[in-house]
Amino acid sequence: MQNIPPQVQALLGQLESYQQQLQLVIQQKQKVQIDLNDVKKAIEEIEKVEEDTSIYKTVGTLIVKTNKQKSLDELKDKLETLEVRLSALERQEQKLNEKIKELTQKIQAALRGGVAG
Amino acid sequence: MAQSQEALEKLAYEYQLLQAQAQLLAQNLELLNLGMNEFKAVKETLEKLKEVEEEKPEILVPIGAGSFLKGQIIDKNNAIVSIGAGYAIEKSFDDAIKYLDERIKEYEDAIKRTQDALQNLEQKLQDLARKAQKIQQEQAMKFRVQKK
Repeated sequence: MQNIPPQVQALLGQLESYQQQLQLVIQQKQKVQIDLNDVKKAIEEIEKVEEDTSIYKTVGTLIVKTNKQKSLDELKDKLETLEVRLSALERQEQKLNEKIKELTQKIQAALRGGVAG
Repeated sequence: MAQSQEALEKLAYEYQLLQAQAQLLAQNLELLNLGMNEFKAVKETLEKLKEVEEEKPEILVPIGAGSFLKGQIIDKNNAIVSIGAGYAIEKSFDDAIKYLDERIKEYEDAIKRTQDALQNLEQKLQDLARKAQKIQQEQAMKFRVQKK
């Protein structure tokens, strides 16, 4: 291992920080995807039942009675929110990936230049 | 010599990585089994309760530490089952059992997939161990030749 020029070291530090950010975004994305699946399944189940079926909703430590229409409205709202969050996270992921690719190329070019010079 | 040492280190690193993965899968498998057993227990409760003849049977409501309060089931035809996202639906016992069966099936599939993945990893771990052993043997052989 030869000495790494300080400029390249700075770039490497930046790269590491981007990679950490990417990891965080990926984790958040996975969590949102799990919630999204949960909500989708719940909607699917509620849509199957008759209009007058009793439906209950968890409110903190209590469970409160609600109905099909209300719960579907609420769940669809939640679904929409989650989808917006997911697409925002996806955009963030894409941007970070681009930045990482750019930085990697820069670092490689700098190292190659160093070897040649 | 240095080359085989490097190869050994690489194998050891790979081995650790795969081992960590296998541990994670084994943990998942345990959780999946626990989850499935919970669903099976509820299903059994509903099935057995159906066989009870009284319309509103007297029961003991568990309050923990092996203690109970006396209670009565006022609706022996419907159960309320959780469907995720904080919601629960009232279902007839038969529908509830059907729903539980579907969830149990999902658990079984997930368990099967996890078991397969775990087996796959264990196979890879064995292969890695064998490779490392081979390199070590070759190293030992070279040692002997050099000594002469």
